[in-house]
Amino acid sequence: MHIAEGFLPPQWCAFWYIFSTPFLIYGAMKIKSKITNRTDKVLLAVSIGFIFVLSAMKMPSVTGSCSHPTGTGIAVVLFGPAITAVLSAIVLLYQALLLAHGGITTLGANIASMGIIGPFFGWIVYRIAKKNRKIAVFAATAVADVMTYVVTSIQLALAFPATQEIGGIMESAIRFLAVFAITQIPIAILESFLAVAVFDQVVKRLEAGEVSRA
Amino acid sequence: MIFALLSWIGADEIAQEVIKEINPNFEPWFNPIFEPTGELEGFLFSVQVAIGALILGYIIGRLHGRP
Repeated sequence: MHIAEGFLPPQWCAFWYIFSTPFLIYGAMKIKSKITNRTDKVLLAVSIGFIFVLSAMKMPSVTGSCSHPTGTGIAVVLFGPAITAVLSAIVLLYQALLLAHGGITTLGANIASMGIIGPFFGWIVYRIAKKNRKIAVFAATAVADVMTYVVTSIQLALAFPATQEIGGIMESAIRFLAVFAITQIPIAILESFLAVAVFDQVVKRLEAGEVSRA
Repeated sequence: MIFALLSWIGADEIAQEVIKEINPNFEPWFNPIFEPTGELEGFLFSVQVAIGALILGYIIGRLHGRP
C-alpha cells in the first residue's frame, strides 16, 4: 500500500503534510519527555522493531493480490498515536527513499493513514477492550491495520472523485476500498496473531521484570 | 481489474490502475529520486526486515537469558 510517489495532486500532498506535522512534533516531544527509564526504552525499541519487520512483509492474500501489514498495533497500544506517528514516519521515510515504496511527496498522507488515523482507531478499541489485554491487543492491531487502508482509500477518493459532487467521492472511495479492504482483512488477522505473540513474550516479561527489580 | 486481482501483484499497483480509470488524464507529477532494480529492491526490503528482527531478537534473547 502507501500512496505512490507523485500519485497525489500537490495541494493534497501539502494538506496531509500540514495535517501530520503537529502530530510528529507532539510525538517527538512525548518521546523526549516520557521515555526515560530503561523499560520504556526497550518497549519503544520493540515497537519500532515490530513495525520494521511487519511493514516489509509483502504477503499474498486470499484475493490474489499482495499487500503488507502495518505493524503499528504494538506501538499504539503501548504509547498512543502520537509516538506511533513518529515511529511510522521513520519506516515510511526508509521505504520512500530506498525502496521507491510510497514517496516523499506523499509522505505526509502516508504518515496520516499509517501513523496517525489508523492507529488512533486501534487505540480507541484498545481503550474499550482493555480488561482482557490479549483480546484488546488483537483487536487494536487488526483495527489499526484495516483502518489504515480505509483512510488511504478516502485520501485517494478525495483526490480522485469520480464526479465533482460528494457522491463522486463516495463512489471512488468504494472502488479503492474494494481493492484494499478485501486484501487487507486476512493480513490484518495474521498480523494480530503476531502482535499478541510478541506482546506475550516481550512486553509482559518486561513489565514483570520491572516490578521484580523495583 | 478482476484480472489484476488474480495475479498476485501489489494492491498499490491495482489502486494506481483505478486512479487511471477514474481520471485518465492524471500523470504522476513527481518520480522517485531513487528507484531500486528488482534484485536490489528485494535486498533492501530484507535489510528492513533484518533491522527489525535484530532488535526484536536481541531483546527477546536478553529477556530469556535473564535468571
